Amino acid sequence: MVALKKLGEGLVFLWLLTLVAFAVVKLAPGDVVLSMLRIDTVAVTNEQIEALREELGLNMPIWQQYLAYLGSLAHLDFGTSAMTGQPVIAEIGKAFPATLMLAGYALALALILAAILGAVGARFAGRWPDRGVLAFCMLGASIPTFWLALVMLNVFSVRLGVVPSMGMGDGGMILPTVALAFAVAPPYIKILRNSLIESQDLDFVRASRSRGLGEQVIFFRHILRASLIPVVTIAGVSLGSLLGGTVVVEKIFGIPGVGKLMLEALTRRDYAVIQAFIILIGVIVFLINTLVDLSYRWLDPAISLKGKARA
Amino acid sequence: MKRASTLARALTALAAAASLALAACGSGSSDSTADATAADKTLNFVTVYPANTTDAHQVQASFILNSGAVETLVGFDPDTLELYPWLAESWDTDDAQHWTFHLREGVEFHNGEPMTAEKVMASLQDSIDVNPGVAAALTIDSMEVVDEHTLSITTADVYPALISNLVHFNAVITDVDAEGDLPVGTGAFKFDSFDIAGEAVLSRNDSYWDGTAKLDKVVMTANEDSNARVMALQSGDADIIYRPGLESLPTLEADESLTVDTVSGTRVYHLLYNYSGANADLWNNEEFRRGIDALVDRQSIVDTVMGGQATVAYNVFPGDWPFSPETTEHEFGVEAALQHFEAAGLDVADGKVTRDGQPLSLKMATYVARAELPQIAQIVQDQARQVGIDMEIYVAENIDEYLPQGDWDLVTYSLLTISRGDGAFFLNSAFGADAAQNHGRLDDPTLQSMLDAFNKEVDVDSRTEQTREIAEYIDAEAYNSYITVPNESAAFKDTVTGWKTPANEFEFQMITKDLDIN
Repeated sequence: MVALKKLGEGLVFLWLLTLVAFAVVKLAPGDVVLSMLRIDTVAVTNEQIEALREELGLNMPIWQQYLAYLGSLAHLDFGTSAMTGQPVIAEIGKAFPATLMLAGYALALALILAAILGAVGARFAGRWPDRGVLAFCMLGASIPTFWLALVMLNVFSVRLGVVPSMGMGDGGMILPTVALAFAVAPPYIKILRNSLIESQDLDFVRASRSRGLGEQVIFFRHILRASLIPVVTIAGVSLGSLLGGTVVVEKIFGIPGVGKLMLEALTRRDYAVIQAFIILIGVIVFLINTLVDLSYRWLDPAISLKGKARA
Repeated sequence: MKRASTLARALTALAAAASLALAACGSGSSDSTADATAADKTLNFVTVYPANTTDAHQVQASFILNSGAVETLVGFDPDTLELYPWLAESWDTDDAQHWTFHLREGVEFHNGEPMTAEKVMASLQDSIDVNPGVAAALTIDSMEVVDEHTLSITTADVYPALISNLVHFNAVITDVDAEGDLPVGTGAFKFDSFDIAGEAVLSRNDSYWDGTAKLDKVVMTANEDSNARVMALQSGDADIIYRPGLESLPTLEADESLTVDTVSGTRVYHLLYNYSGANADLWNNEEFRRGIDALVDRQSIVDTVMGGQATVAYNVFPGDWPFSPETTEHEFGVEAALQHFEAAGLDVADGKVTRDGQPLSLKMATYVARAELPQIAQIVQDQARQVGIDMEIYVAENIDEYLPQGDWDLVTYSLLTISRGDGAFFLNSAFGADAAQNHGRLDDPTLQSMLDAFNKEVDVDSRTEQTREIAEYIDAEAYNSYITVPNESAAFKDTVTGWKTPANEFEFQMITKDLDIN
């Protein structure tokens, strides 16, 4: 029943996504036909422009264009990049590993930072280490990622020359990972810290202590597990900002990921790539949110039980 | 106490995990730069526009042609701006529709495959199939292999401009059957690696048909930020940069370890008039056009806006090229303008122009993609104000999409006019009856018949003569105001020899076999 409901929600969401992807591209200014015909260097007539527009189906009524678009999607055909002539799915497939790697490293580093600093903040709540952690969070939340990336680039690549300024080789992922993690980590740190503080005084923790359970068991089995729910929630919610952050970071550090591909597609008005990107990100966010939802049931069995009781 | 030790253990474990994660970030593929710099003679070159794909037939910018790895059937000499046989040793045609190309023998692709008529045909066919721009430029109807080194091409119609259009950077000859993503051409350098987001590493092609390159390796990158290019040169990372920013030229020239080379470009900044808009009656009046032209302070624009890095232009093909008309200076000044406005039938009183008792108000479009154009618009606006003409400046986000809407009177514009050794591109593009770049929709039957005759002319000398005559006619009719030709520059270390600054980035190799570094 839950699975059917989720599937229904997913289909409606997917349909809305296709509408958004289609509308965004139709409303955006720009004419890919002029770029394709190289009007800067090739003498073309308006007749040739119209003919190509016709061939690409850009003169069809809008609803027909939408139906044609849906038809292609149904065959998992995301179209061909107007600028490279390659299937969009292949272009994204080529770029996706770099983004996944960057986002994965950054998320891992952010979670590690959250675990360390959140624990330190909770352990020393109200004292100077905690204040230091909160100050770090404030800095991370307020410093723009692009600025931090440029400063790091200047210091570590240009001045010290310890890491390359572009690309993914020879330590090239260190700066982008740190820049992105620095921006993403603060909410995790703060939420874990607060959650740990609150969990330590919960009834079942005190009950566990009174039953003589070891602190290690109490921490890992009860306190940490209970504290992870808000962290997992924020992980799902912050996925959008994480992927948004990769666009900036990929551009600055020259990482050939999906974000960079998307920026190039926007600049060159490569509609098929833009549409596929919107659908892809939408589906990923939906899947992650669904996973987050399901993970609550594992982290806090009470949620699952409540659901059953209501049913 | 026990709780604290648990936390401490957890922290230690996490810190170790953090170190591992960062170490993992550091792993990656080997850096091609490191390999490249290990070679004896490696030159680092930074150009402006990156490639958006490694496919030479689809790439939007001319990065791949500039790299020296690929060649076209017909070349374009940067010194004389004349066409010359390159991969095609010669060609002949009786009617400019049926062509026979005699290919150079002994030419090999980088993968060792011989360049045969079959391969050339496949390459041209691929560029036509994947690139509608090339299809429109070449208008090839059919191709046939005559023998191993002879290719017959039939165009859809009589088309003498075919030769010129074979210079296009997307019409380069590659082995389309070659495996892998790297362009496999016939040039003096071959791609070792090509990361469109990073760098292209090229090494010398020891089997090059036209001698051996002096350099061992070239690392080529692109950066659209002119300051970044200049910094790359100043920091020593780059040996040559193309198109340093105008403002940086004095600094670079003052540096004794650097050389700045400047040549006249092939692009002309101009004012394009709208002959079919709301004020079509004004713009179709030759005296009115002459009046507006007299308000254009060309020298001041060159001195101030262009920082002296340009030359004054009066016609569509300025300079001393084979088809350039003799330069006739245009009169400039308020007095001259007023005389023309009066001759145009407008009212002139107290140094001001009116029409039916009302001041003239015109809309001048411009765009920021070329930073000097809005400044030129302001100078023209100031000058027009002196004679009582109000010019409202409208900055369009995308000028080529805005202009077809027709809601404008004049626009500061920029086009390559001297292109690929033949006037065909510019004349057809800007003055053809249905041409995409004839934004003002000028419709002059005399000019059109001259253009039609030119488009059918086969003889090269006659084409040159006709090009010149058309340019003179455009000048005589004061169609549009041609203002200035921006210079093209490159800056390089004094250790570099053999560099030739091209007049534009679209039509020339930049890395050549003659380049050297000491």
